[in-house]
Amino acid sequence: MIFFVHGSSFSGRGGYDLQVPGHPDYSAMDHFSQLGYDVWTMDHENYGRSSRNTGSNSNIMSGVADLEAAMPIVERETGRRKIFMRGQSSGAIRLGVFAMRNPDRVERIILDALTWTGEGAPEIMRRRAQAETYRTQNYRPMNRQSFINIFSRDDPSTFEQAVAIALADYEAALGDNAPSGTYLDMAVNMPMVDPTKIASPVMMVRAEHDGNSTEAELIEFFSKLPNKEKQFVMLKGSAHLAMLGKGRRRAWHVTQAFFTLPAPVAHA
Amino acid sequence: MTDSGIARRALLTATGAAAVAAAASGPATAQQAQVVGREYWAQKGEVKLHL
Repeated sequence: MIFFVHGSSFSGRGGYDLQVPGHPDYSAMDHFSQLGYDVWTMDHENYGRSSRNTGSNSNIMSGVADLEAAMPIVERETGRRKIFMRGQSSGAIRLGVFAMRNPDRVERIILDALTWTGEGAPEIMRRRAQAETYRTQNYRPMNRQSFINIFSRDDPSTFEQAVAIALADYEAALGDNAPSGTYLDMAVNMPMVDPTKIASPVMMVRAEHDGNSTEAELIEFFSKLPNKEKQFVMLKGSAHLAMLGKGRRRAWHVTQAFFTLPAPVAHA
Repeated sequence: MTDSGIARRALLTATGAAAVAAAASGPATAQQAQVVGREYWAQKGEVKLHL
């Protein structure tokens, strides 16, 4: 089974189960379920259909607590304690911390579009300049156009406009804000994931166009992962939201490949 | 993604009435019919979390 962890600005089903009119192949949940996986996602606090406007800024540690609250239900329903998990953007940070704290819960993890330190990354520097706003306002106002604008941040040519519109329509119907906590953490509290404390196999996925990190920081992070069952994948022609881009099938492909990789052959 | 709030997605094994109905409907429909979804709610203190 696979558990998808969403990022800072939209919900689990917006990111992983998006239905795009005229484009029937954007739901990663549908794709992986048709491959035979039992596929899960969740909306973190103040996102999607979960409790909203709770007063919390839903920072990274709040999201980790969300995952820890969800896992007993996953285990109860599937009988599985150790599972495949894939997080994107701040979802990768949540997942990284979750894996540090819960090594008995993760079989393999994929950290997609991770920010480790964020030093020198354009989008993180922009957020750092806005840190005081995020500190004093627990919610970022969002509207339909705000969601569409997410797709213009890195390389807009890597997306179909219909996807941005479909996502905006879905998310704007659920609420008019997104919590600021992960933005604040990414601006001023990095790093939160210690690669030396992740015991499971890890795949890191980096899109060619991604202002949320630098290639150098991710390669350094990768070098510190202790489990040698690890992979670093660059996705040429993709941007930060690779799973919703024109190249989504490449992102799905490497995900499937990592989750089905045969176990290492033990030395005699 | 439907209004019914599908958050868990799984492909059923080919058993039972669902598989019979899917097989009778032809290959394309069968593949779609086999995908089922369920939703769950986790509790974090007073916060409800949608799975």
